Amino acid sequence: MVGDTAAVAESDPELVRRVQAGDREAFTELYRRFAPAAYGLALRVLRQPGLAQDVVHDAFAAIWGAPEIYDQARGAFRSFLLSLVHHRAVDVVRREERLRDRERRVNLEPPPNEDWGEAVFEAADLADRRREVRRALAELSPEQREVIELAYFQGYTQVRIAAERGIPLGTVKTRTLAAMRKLRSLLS
Amino acid sequence: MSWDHERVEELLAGHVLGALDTEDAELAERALVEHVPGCERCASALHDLRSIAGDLALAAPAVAPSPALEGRLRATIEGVPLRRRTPWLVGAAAAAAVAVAGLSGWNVTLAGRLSEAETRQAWLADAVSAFGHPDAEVLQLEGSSRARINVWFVRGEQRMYLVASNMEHPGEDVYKVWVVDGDTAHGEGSFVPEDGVGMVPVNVGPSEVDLVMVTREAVSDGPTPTASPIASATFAPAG
Repeated sequence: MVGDTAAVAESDPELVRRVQAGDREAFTELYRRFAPAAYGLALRVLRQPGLAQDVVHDAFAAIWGAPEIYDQARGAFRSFLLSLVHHRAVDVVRREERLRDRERRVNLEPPPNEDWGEAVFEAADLADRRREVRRALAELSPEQREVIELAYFQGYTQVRIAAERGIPLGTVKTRTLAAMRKLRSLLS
Repeated sequence: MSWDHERVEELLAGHVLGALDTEDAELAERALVEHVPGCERCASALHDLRSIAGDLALAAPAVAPSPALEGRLRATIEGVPLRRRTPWLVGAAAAAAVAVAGLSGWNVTLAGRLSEAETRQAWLADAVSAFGHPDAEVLQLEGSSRARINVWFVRGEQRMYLVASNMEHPGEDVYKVWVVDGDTAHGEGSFVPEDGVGMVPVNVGPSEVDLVMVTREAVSDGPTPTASPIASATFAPAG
């Protein structure tokens, strides 16, 4: 798995096309480009490096084994990949009873000792988007941010959020939609 | 069923976050199949919500995984020769490769044809991992039709995938998947095949059911089967 200088400058769609044609070097480049984001997400949800690596491995292996599962017409590859990682991570976290006792954080700051990710090299556009997303999240109300945090990063269902926060399920749904709409307006 | 756009968007927001409980997830799935593809407003909302959900991942700090992960992945993909897949072999010795090969036969069609049903994206991706599992097993349903219907599963896992091909189009009806435990049948989802192909995730494990079967039904949400199965199979005990 050897990347090359030329591949680094290639666009995501071009890399994906090469992967779909069976190009292992392109797959390696794609992995190196997105693995830190994918692993960071999986680690944030699962909080266990071994499980997080399993999720990232499975996601990339799935893309290699059946690259047709990504349809460019449905959005950016990055969004697809990270949604896939998120889906798998949430699936795992819900199965792992022992993880349910993990620290239940309700803010979006990185947990202690996990902030080493900022040293990871990322392409400028990805790093820029990361800053934009964090700024947008900071503009949500605390209540909106909480439902997003619990749902997305802790894998809670809306029913569980309602039960644990002592608020009606309808309120959780309303807050979630309001939060997503605000993020859409801030990030579009 | 009449759909309220605001309610659908609320469901879609929970859906893209993976936060719906079973009841709402089923409702969202129905909306994705029955309403969203034909509703410009909701289709646009779904597109935007998916994009936002993808971006949310970036709120987590990037973390470099262990270099060993790249080596592990390299070993995995070297065992899965893309574009040199053998169609639907049967052989336990190459279970993982065969599983992915079996998938590829219908996946090109399936991924394209079911693109409107966004949840299938996640199912497909999940299914790929399940099919690539070294302990994946496949159970073929027997019936009188020319359809080929298989259930893929891994013992110990709580999810299976029913994959059907060569299915006759049911007209105004749907095909419904049932799992039978003792004398009780539970509906596990329905599908209308496109180009003869359909897929349904089954959210129970093989140890929890005695039988899986497919019937042709007039409605997708009927509580019990109303027709004889077009195909069925019994799960054998592990070992």
